[in-house]
Amino acid sequence: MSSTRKQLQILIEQNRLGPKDTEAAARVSGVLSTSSAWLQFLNRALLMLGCLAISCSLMFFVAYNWLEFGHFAKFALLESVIILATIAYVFFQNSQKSNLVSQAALLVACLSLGVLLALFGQTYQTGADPWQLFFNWALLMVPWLLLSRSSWLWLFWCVLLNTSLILWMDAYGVSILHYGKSMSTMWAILVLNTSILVAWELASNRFSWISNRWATRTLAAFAIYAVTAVAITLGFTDSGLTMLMTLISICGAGYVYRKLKPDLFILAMLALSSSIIALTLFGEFVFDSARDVIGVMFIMGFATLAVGTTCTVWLKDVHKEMLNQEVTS
Amino acid sequence: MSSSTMAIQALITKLENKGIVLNNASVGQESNDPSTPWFIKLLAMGAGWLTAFFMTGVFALLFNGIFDNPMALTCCGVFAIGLAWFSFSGQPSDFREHLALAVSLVGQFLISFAIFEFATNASYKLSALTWLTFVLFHSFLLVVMPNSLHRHISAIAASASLGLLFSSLGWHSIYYATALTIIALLTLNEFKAWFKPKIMTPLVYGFALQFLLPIVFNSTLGELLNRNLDSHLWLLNLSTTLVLLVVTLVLCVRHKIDKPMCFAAAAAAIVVGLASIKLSGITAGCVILLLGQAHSNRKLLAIGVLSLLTQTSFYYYNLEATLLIKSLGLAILGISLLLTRWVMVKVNQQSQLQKGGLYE
Repeated sequence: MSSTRKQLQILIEQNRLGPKDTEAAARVSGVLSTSSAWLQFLNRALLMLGCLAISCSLMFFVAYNWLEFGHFAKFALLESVIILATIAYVFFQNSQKSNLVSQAALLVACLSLGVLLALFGQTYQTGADPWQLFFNWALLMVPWLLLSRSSWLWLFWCVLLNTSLILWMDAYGVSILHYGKSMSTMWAILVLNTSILVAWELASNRFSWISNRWATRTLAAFAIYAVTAVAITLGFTDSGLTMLMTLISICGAGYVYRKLKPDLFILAMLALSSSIIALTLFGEFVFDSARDVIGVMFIMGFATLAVGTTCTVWLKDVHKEMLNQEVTS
Repeated sequence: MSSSTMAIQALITKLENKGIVLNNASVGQESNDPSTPWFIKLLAMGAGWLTAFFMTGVFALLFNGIFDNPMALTCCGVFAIGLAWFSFSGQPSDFREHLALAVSLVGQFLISFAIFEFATNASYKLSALTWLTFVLFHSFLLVVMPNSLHRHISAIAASASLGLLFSSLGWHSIYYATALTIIALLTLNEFKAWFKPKIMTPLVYGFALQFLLPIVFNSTLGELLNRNLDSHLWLLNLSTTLVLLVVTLVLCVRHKIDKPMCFAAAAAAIVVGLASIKLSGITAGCVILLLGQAHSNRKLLAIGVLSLLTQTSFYYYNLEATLLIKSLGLAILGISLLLTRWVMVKVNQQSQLQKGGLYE
């Protein structure tokens, strides 16, 4: 649904509101922030930005590898931060008003843990296998994650898992089926993220704190990116398994996010992915079979226009349908 | 009745219940559906760009010789844009809208080639005059084109051209403060009678999107365009801090906040500005966040957060300071932000005790 801000702008544009009334209307409709909303916003923004700045500061400090500051002192510094952050979490967790502070403390603890592991690798030269850093980080974070009830920390954990998987595949050159290193990595990312997405969606039915739509959408974006990359790279050269998998993934996700858990943003990403795959394969076919470059460019131009328009029209229709369902329910 | 019309009707009822009388007029006259989400617009924009790329390719292959003649290029470009204008002005249709967008973009490519060709012939390639021409050209399209998507594209192009104009003049250090001032002026006056949402809202997003690119790029670009130039990052950071201070004070005045709290807010803005003096772009991100919060604009809020993340990520690779200095800067910034929050919470608690709530 269009925001109240937009609705107010339409009324002003149609001269339905006199010049003297516009600001009052903005206040009444809640578009202009009230003082209490400001306080809440500043409280959250200053805390989160402050904690992020301090965590980044620690990261930069360790990366500088200052020799005059001994290893023992560096370990002591990082471990003190982690212990203090954990104490702050426990302390504020008990007071209901300071839930935000406890979440921020856990964020600092989780980020500092990664910095501590990096320092460990830097000191004892374990950097030959960088995937271990991210994997151990993800593994050691789990107890805090279970306590946190924060969808954003869980999302960060998924990013760590993805990073460690990519680095592991790169280090060991594991081949899935008969594919090369980069394609096998894409398949692995696709399988991992699809599994996480399914688990996430199932868990969101049970735990309300995980049902943050933007976190789900980010996970879906990882999976859709992987399926698109696999499909456009292998395309016609593969035995047909890729196209079958692509078709099943996109149609399956389309059904879920159209009928079972309607989500227009994920549908838009699926439409974009399908368009890219279709246009790439069509372009490959046309460029291979036709000799007239002008004709090929012309056909590709109109194919892009047709695909773009079809997607937009379909998404707009779905959007209208979703809005009408909202109104009737 | 469509859901957006129903939502407007609900808002009208709410306003009338609060004693705000509205004039009579028909609701829902906007030709472009106002409720189309931004990501669908972005998808359409991408398809338009790609189609225009292929169409320009066809044009370039068919009329190869025309690219040496800037006058002929201009005529073709103007014709294409005119055609697009007529298409946009007709009955709304998704296919025609996409086609018109692509045709207009082809026209813009052709005119851009012509401008570069004119500039090369007159031997002032990439000078301020070239970029000024681009600013005027895209601003003209922003005002004239009767389509929301097109206006957003023109706004992005116009604001980027203004950045290049500033860089070529050697004023790149104050471009970001200028862009922030424009965003602030337009956002804070969003509900004034003179504000034209169709033109000015795209302009706000056009300028705000510039902050998603690392500020260091602009500095480097400034040096490329104007070789006799030194990087004045301190001036950039100082000018954006000034904008942060002014925006904070304007918001304090708007909310009729007590003088001591106003001074505290101004002091906090100065502290954030000074603490991030080595961290280009942090104050700019803060200004965008404040403006987004002030007018419940979630898109501006998202751009502000992304801008802060981008600038901090690229700060790691900035070669003007060592990692140790950067670490110290971030620590000072973090501690300043947490201290500011602590003071704010304490003052609020105290005033709530004294008056039963300062903020209500």
